[in-house]
Amino acid sequence: MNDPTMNELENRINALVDGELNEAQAAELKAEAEQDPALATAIIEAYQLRQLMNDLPVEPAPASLRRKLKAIPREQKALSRDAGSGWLAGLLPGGMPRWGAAMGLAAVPLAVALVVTQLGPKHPTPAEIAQAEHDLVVAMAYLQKATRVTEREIENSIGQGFARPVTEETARALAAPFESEKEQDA
Amino acid sequence: MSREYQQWVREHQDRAWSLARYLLKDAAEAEDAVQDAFIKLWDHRDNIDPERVKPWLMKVTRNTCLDRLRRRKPEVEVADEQVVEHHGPAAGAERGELGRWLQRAIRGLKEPYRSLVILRDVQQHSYEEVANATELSLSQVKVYLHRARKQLREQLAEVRP
Amino acid sequence: MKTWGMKAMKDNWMGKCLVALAVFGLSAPVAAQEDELKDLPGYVDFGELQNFYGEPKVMINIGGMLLGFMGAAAKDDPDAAALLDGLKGVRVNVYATGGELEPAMDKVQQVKNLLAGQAWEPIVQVNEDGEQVQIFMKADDTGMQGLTVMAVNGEEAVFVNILGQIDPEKVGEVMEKFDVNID
Repeated sequence: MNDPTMNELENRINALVDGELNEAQAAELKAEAEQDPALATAIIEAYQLRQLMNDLPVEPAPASLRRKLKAIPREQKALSRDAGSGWLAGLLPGGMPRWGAAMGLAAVPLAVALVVTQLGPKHPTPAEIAQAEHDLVVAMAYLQKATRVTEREIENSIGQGFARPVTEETARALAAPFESEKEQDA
Repeated sequence: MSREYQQWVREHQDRAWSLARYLLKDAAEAEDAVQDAFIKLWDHRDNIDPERVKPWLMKVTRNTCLDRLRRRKPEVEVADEQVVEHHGPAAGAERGELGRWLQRAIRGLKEPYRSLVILRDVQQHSYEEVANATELSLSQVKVYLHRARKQLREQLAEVRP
Repeated sequence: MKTWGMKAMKDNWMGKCLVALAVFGLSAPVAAQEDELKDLPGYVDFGELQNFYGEPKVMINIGGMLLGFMGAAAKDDPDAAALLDGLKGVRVNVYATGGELEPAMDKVQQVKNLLAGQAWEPIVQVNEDGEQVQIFMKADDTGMQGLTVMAVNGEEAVFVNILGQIDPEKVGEVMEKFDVNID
């Protein structure tokens, strides 16, 4: 679809199906289609697809969900009364405690559970901490990946003898940030 | 205000549910996502223009679903949702079967194509509402939607008798 | 779609915590974590790329409170505790570029201009055809305030913003304990 002619044709087919072409434009496209079987097929398929999508059944929300949605004002009002300090609402946008409450009843890794217990309730749930730890590993993996690319490029451009992992370079800079600046100036 | 909220629930719960069902394979998770979206609606009810509740809710529902998908990726591969079954309905298949195939094909589209097709072509929101819900410009909505439809058309051509 | 996956996790504190994740399948609200970090001096606004590339394939925002808890939970693992000590926030956005480099390269240039006006120092810059890596650091009298990494190639655009202090050597030591495959 990077071909401008194809893009233009695609726009016109879609505009036709969307009912956005005026009579003259529609007639022009249909006339072209009479001379171009591939275009005619594309238009027919576009109409067929549109019809199929229009005919897709809409699945109504299940009764269980309807009940939950209806009960939200009552539950949220009760929650804001019970929350007192409102810490939960601060932690969870929407003040949604459903799984938070369930979490307290479930078994969790001992180390995390102990920390959370010791530090009281105004803190993340064990699951949130576990997710954050998991995310941190991924974040560090991306950091490492960037340093590997840098190391490879330094090797390619300067030579292996001079190549150093950027982690090392950065670590040195962190140890003495202003010395590093001086070196760069020099 | 609660009465107004209940009116919004009646008007939009099916659309939000349908969107979540297309985006999330698991029905229970879709139910949670819609519930989260409506809790946010309740929490922000004083700040939302009543005329724009529908696109606002579609945007929040979509973002909630995508957020859940994103979080799930590291632990659970979502390959099932990304793979379109190319063995389409048999020749002479009934329309219902073609419809089920199309639902699977839509679910197999990548974002934002999938959301655009659902919002515009299945749920038939206006282009402006779709742009609002997906936080894309109107021209981007059209370009992406055209690409998505073309993909679906090509897949449909392969499976139609 | 290319996704990263985690191989067998060794028996350590993070591995144990992953069990909790697998059980509950839950996570901290990303938006709340992001908001918590915005006022810190090491924060970098990467803007949006999802209009070009769709939803990011990885989006991570870890705030100071969670890092504090993780540090407490990691007290038996000196390497992990050292890594977490001084960290105030970690943000990662990764987009699949699918070979379309221009929007991501433009974004890198925009962010570079932004950083230049905010006292960030370039540490490493790699500019090759089809691949770019930029690493910046911000420090003041009290020490490091942040590290920013932007890496773009034909497969993905990676934006990492570390807030607070990090010892990159510790990253390597901690990561040796994990078989993480993001390639």
